[in-house]
Amino acid sequence: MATIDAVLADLDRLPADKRTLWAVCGALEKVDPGVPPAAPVPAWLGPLVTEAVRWLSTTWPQSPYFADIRRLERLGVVTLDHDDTYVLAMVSALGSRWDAQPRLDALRHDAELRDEVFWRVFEVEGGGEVSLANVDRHSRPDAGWTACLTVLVAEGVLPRDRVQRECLRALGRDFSAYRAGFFTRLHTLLDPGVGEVVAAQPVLVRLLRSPVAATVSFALGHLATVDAAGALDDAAFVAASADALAVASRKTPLGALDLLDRILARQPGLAAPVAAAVAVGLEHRHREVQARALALLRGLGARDLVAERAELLEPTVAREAAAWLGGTVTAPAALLADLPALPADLPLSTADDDRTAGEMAAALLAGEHDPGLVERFLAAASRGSDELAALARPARKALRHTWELRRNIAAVLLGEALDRVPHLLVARLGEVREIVRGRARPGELLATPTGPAGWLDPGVFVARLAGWDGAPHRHDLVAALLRLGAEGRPEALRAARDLPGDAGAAARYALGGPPAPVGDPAVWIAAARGRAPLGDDPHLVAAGLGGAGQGRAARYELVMTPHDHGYWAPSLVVHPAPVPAAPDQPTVVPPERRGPDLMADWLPWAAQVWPHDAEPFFAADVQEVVHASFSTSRRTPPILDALRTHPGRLGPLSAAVLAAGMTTAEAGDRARAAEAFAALVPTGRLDPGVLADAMVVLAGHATANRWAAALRDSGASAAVVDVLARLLPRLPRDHHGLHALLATLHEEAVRTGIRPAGPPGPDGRLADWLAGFTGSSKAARTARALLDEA
Amino acid sequence: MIYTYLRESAVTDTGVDLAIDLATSGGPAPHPYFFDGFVERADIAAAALLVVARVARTRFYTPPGMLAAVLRAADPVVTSDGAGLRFESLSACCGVYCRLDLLPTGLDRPPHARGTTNVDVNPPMRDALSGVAGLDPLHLAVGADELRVTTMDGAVIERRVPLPERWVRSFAEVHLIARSSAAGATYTPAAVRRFLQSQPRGRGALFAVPAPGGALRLASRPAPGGVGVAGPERLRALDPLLRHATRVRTYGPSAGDTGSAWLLDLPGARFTLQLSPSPSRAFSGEGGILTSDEAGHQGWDLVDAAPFDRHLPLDEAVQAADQPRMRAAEALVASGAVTRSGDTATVRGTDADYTVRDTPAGERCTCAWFATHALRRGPCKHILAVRLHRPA
Repeated sequence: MATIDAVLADLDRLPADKRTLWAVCGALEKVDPGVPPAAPVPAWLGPLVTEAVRWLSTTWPQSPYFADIRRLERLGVVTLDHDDTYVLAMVSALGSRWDAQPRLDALRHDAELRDEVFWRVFEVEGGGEVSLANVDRHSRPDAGWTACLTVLVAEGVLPRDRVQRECLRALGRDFSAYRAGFFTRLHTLLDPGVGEVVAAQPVLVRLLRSPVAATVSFALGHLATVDAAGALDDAAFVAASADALAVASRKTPLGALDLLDRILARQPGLAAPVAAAVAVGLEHRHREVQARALALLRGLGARDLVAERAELLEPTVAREAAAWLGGTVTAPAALLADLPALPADLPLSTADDDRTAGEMAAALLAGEHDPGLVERFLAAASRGSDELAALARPARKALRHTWELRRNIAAVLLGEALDRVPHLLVARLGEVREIVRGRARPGELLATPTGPAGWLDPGVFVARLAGWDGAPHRHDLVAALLRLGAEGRPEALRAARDLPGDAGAAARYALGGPPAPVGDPAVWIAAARGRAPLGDDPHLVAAGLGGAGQGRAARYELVMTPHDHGYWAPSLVVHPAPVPAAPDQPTVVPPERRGPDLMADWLPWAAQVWPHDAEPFFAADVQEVVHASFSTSRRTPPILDALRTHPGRLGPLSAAVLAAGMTTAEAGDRARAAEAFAALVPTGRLDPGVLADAMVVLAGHATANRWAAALRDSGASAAVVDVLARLLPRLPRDHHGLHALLATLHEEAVRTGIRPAGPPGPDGRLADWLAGFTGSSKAARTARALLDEA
Repeated sequence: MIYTYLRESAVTDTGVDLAIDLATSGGPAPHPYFFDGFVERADIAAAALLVVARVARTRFYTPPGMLAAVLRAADPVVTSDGAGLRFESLSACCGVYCRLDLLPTGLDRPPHARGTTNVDVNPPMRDALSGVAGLDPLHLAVGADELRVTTMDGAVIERRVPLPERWVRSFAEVHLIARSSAAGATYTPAAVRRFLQSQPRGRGALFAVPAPGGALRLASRPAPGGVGVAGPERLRALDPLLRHATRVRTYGPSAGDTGSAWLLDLPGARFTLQLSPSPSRAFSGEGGILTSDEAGHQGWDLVDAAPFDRHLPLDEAVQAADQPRMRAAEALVASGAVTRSGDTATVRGTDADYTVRDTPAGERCTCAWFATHALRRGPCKHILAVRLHRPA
């Protein structure tokens, strides 16, 4: 065995790039740890090890590298500060992700480490990859810190009482909820006895003030044990209990109220502070907590405390409080008045109108995607602009945003290939690209909107078409025909009588003119859909264009099919005669589409393709919103925004998007859906029966709690009652989460004073359905309460 | 920038009360001695100090490609205006600013002096503060007294804490944003707590708007009284203080952007939480100081609608010239990249030529920065270069 001095001398001869921690540890592996170095240690060794410790303190290597650090320390080769960084390095690398043994051995046999450093793991929080909680989360269950410490406590290597005490102290150190969870889990695994819990009472009371809800729940659970043992410090608990009543979940506040109730029974002298604490329960968002708090306060006669908080109470609790207080507690009114009318006041665009072509292009290349801006840019680019050439380099940068609108705007400027998305908008960009490249005639585009939401004035359209010498660009013409507004068609038709060619004939037909021989099918389909958007067109059907969305008005249906593991697969059914999609026929949506979807930034523009009818747009994208209930979806916000802004017909697929939007995972998306509900259902833009139908289809997939919350957030109470009264009788009585919907119906019915009846349907009336509940479940109790309202 | 502490902050349990002794670094005067007295509502001050420290330790936004790392928190800044104390901090991502104002009514005596320093809220301090409750007395000593400094000469503890340049710029920006903010709706603390308990989360521009019954709700668009809350989960930092608050006031930029400030009225204190317009946007990059003559030596009190002095422990004030964008603009001018022609100018950038145009609504540029932010985050470097190039 070599002496340490000889090994160090060999190490010092290593070239600089070979001086690594691993080389040092390998060389020193067989050196006798009992003999310290006599010769000076190479100067580079200390900084090397210090840097390794720093690296381990922020990076979890998943392997027990800390043993090497300790070996160097014990050999006397390095002297390290046992500071926070050192402690975190130990947390990170004392053990292995897969093997419990290295960590167990280190703490069993390294007394210095165990006695002087180990206990600081309860003080140093860590973060990122390195913390007790994170190492445990990603380690094999029996190889983590928790398993190691429970073994060492069982062996007596670590004193059980101190580990418990340090866990509780750590919970008071303001660590994050994630990292604090380690200590509650460890403490729970140590299974403290009643005596140990009673001894910890002062710390547990203090933990009621923790900002971490799980810690408060943990402390309250143990304090209930203390209470059962007859050892609770009532005054101390009452003083701290208000914090427990503010915890978001229902269980913890209800537990605290139970304890306060018991204290009140044995300590009437604490009535005043108990009442003050219980009053916090009236501010809770859950009805059950409010009701329990109200019951306690009634027993205490604390009328003022209730009256002060009357506005915060749920309608059924408010009614109960009003009955007791002898007055009227007014439930908050609906917020429908807060919402602007739609769609009349839609702005033409959020973009400034005075931008130059270069400024508009720069904005689009930077990611702006306002539909009005896109259209104005296309119009400017089609007329020709010298400014655009200066944007070549930013445009080349934007090419990296594959599939996004900005990448395709860049392609227009540079003459590059557009993304291969089969959509009318891409085809329109292709036409403008050819104009910019000088391969197609410049001129005024036909489809540039003249009004909000994509509408095009028929007179302006005819004037633009008359200005073209020869045939206009084909996709531009299709887009324009679909956007023709209803006002001024007769005048425009008269002005169009001499328009030449197939385009002129199609334009006259779109404006209500006589049939003519069908030339370009896509142009005539657009003309027919512009002429009578929601009706069948015998002329096109006779010409062999009888598909859904062509000569015949399409009807769409969302079907949800149950699969394994609670997954419901959405699919689209198209009536009466589905036909394949084509980019020049945007009114046609086949049951199964092929090719990539438009990215999120295209969607506001895509929603304006056919202002008459929202159904094709939502039929194409309803599945995206359905999937947003369990996955992040960047396309969902613009789809939901289109619900509010689309000026056309809203039918079953629009309703399906709204129903799916109310059960999305993102709160921001649900807020959009709630706003859409408030804007569309009370005003009649979306029929409540159609929405209820869509909710029935989606009920298996949806999370009932999310639906309930979104409906209540809409503030449109009467519409909520209407929709739920239609929906509920069509759901099975054991539907998962049904109580949330029933409770919402109950609260909103009381708020509005509307008796929830619902129209007779195939599954009977609401009252019959409510009467069918048996048992004592929350849903059954709420159903009976609703019947009592009737 | 390095702070030097004479010793660590300490907590002493005298058996009668908890003495909180905050170690300070240098301010305008070396190791000033600001305050030595009791806080009237110890539980509230302790909870609020913990929130100030927690915000400083929190990264609310992690840029893509950056792994969450152990946070090396910067230290809260404390300012005495001779009547009260203000504790300020910024999150590690510089997108959340918070300030605790201990008002004269919340202190048993006025501070001895005016000035600014920073305090070290270390783990034992947090441990002690989280134990303060009810009517516990809290003795607060901000600043080491000179006698102690003298006697501890041989036992000086130096702790080197990098003062992020972003913090300094962020303080200046927060001041300018707050100054241009208008009052939004006022809510009961219970309403705000319920809003937070609904776990509002979401991407993009979101708003907290008034709802019936004094409540508030998440919305996708602005409404009267509403304020922007992009990254609404950041508001949860307020949660521990809501039970102590008497009301919650909101403030939002009067025009243009979507940040907000939430001000809690507490007994003897006020607490302000200010959100940047987006979680990914640090205050330091807002660019307000590029067009403002005011230096970073002031903060803004939303309630009083007045500035307060805050001399950061720096050798120099924050200057617009310190802003990276201004430095880039100066480099463009120096390299002769600006060519003027009437109301327009061409700026030769690193990858393209950009056109800067004077319009009645202000200058416009064809660069990506302007296309994304317009003038809301200050002018782009090309507009700045044209301004610098303009003859006096």
